[in-house]
Amino acid sequence: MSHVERTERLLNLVICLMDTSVAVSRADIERRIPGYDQAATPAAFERMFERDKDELRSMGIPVETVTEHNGEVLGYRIPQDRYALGQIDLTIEERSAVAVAAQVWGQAIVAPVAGAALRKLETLSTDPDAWTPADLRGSVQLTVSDGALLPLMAALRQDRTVTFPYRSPTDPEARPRTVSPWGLRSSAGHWFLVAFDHERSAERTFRLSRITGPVVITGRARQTPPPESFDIASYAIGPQGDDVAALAQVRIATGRGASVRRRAITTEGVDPWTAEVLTIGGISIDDLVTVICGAGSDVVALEPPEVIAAVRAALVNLSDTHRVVIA
Amino acid sequence: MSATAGDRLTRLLTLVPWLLTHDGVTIGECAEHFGVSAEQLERDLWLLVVCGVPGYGPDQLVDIDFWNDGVIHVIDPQTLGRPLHLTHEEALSLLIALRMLAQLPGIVDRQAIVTAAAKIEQVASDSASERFVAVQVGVPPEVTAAVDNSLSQGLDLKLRYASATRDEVTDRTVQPRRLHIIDGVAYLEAYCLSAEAVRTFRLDRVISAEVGGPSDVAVESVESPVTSLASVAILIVGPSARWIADVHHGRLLSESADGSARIELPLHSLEWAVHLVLSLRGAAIVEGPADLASAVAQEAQSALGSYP
Repeated sequence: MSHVERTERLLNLVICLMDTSVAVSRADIERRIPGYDQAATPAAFERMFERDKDELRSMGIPVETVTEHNGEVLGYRIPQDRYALGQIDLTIEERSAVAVAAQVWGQAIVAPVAGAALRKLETLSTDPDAWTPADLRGSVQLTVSDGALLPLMAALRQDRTVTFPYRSPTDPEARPRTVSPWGLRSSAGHWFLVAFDHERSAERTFRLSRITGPVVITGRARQTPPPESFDIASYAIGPQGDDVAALAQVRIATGRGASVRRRAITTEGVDPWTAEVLTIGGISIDDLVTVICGAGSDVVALEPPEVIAAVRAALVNLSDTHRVVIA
Repeated sequence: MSATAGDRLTRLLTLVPWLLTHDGVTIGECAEHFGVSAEQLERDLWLLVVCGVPGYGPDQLVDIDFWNDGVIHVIDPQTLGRPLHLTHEEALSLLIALRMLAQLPGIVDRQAIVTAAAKIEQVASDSASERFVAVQVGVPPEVTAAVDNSLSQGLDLKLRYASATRDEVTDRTVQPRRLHIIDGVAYLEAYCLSAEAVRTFRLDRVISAEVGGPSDVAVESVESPVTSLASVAILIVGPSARWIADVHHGRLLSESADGSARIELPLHSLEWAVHLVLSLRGAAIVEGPADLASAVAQEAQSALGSYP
C-alpha cells in the first residue's frame, strides 16, 4: 500500500472521528472509511486499524476509546476541544521571538519539530508578515545532535520508564540502564538527564552525549516520581560551591591562574582576581591537586603539605612521561 | 510505518487552518511557507478535496478552490478548521529555545521572549515547565544587561575576563560587534583595544562587565578573526580521563583491552592543551604533536622549580 493511500485513509479517519459527538464503531470504520476495505481478513483490518490509531496518537491526536458501563468498547472519537490548539494571543514582538526560537535549532534533530510547532502557531494570525524573526545582533544556533532529547521529553510527559545504553566516564563499555526520568537540563551547552536509576535504586545524573544508542520508552509507568520539591534548575549536577571539603593556600602570578582564582574562598578586602596569595576550596584534596597542577608554573601550592606532595608527584610524573623535543 | 505519511498528515492538518487565515494566497506562496514544491502542494490540495465525512457526498467533502490562477480559497474545511494542539515535544522545542534566548544578550526585545514563553507554557503540559526542563547559560544577568546596552547603544564595554585558553585574568576595554550563540554558549566578538584586534570572549567567563563611553566607529573595518582550528592533538588516556573526549568535542580513535583509549582533540591553542594535560596529572599522555608534548614537559619542570 502506498503512502498516499495511507495518508488519505488516516485523514478520513481523523475527520470521521471528529465529526461524531458520541463514538464511531469499529464496524462503521471498517465499512465506511475508504482503504479499510482493502484488508483481506478481519484480522488484517484489526492490525491496520490498531496501527493507524497508534500513528494518530503518536502525533498527539487524542483518539478516545468510548466504552459502555460494562466495559465493552462502543467505538472511538476525537473530541474537538482536546484536538484543537487553544487560543494563544501573541503580540507582534512575541511572534518574532517565537519565530527566532524555531529558527535557532538549525540542523539539529529537533529542528523539524520546532518548525512544525511554528507552522501551527502561524495559523492563528491573519497577518502574513507577523512572524518575522526578531532582530538578532549575531547568530544563534542549537546544534544538539543528541537523538536522546526527543524520546526523553516524551518519556517525561508520559511518566514512563526508559532504557538506554550508557557509557559512564570510568567504564569503556556501554551498559544498559533502566531509569525513571525526572528532568532535563542544559548547562553551558551540555544536556543532562536527572533520573531515578532502578538498578542502583538511587537518583543519578546522565550526560546525554554518553547515551550511545536508542532511548526506548518502555510500557512500564514511572515507578519513582520526583519528590514534590523537585526543581531541575537547583538540582546539583556538578560539584557545588557549598561542597567545599578541602582547602589549600596558593601563590598565583599576577593576572594568571584564572581557573584557580575561580575557587577562591573570599575574605573581606581581598580581590580574588588580583591577589597574590589566596585560599582556595575544593570538594577533596584530590580536586585541589588537579586544579593546581592544571595551572602549571603560574600557581604554587603553599599549604597543606599533602597537597604540596601530591602536586609535586604529579608534576614529576608529567615531566617523566613527556619529553622535551630539542629542535 | 514510514515517517512520510505522518509528516504529510501533520502538514495537511496545519494547511487547512493556515489557508483559512491566509485566504487568497497563491499555490507558490503557500508551498514556500510550508517548504514544499508547488507540485507537492497541489498533490496535497488534491488529496484534501477527496477527503471528508463518511458518505463523501458533495457537501461532506473538504472543499478548496484552487482552480483560478493558482489562488487558494477554502470553502468548507469540514472538521479541519482549527490547528492540532502543540505536542509536548513541539511546545518544548520552542520553550527550550526561548528559555535560552531569555538569558542571553543580543535580542532586542527580551520582555517579549519571557511573555511568549509564558503563553506557550499555558497551552503545554505541566511536564514542560521549567521545574522539569531547564536551560542554564551561566551568564550573570548583570553581564547580559551590560552587553545588551553596549551593543544597542554602541558603547565601549569594560570586561574583566578569565580566559580558559590562557588561564589568565585580564581587564580590557572592548567594542562589541556581534554575538554568536552556539548550543547555549554565548561568544561575544569584539574589537579589543588592548590587543588592537578582534577577539572572541565566552560570556560565561566574563567576571564583570561595565558599560563605558561611546565606541569609536573607525574600527568597523577590522576583519573578523578566522576561528577555524589549526590542528588536533592525539592523547592516550586512561579510563579516568576518557571524559575529556566528550567535554572537549574530541573523537575516539581506538581502545585497548586495559581500558585506555587513543583520542583526538581539537587543539584550540597550545597553551590551553598544556593546561588540560597538566590538570589530568598523567592520566593523559600526549602522543602528538611533538611541540605539545615538549611544552607539557617544560611547564611541568618549570612548575617543579618552585618547590624546594
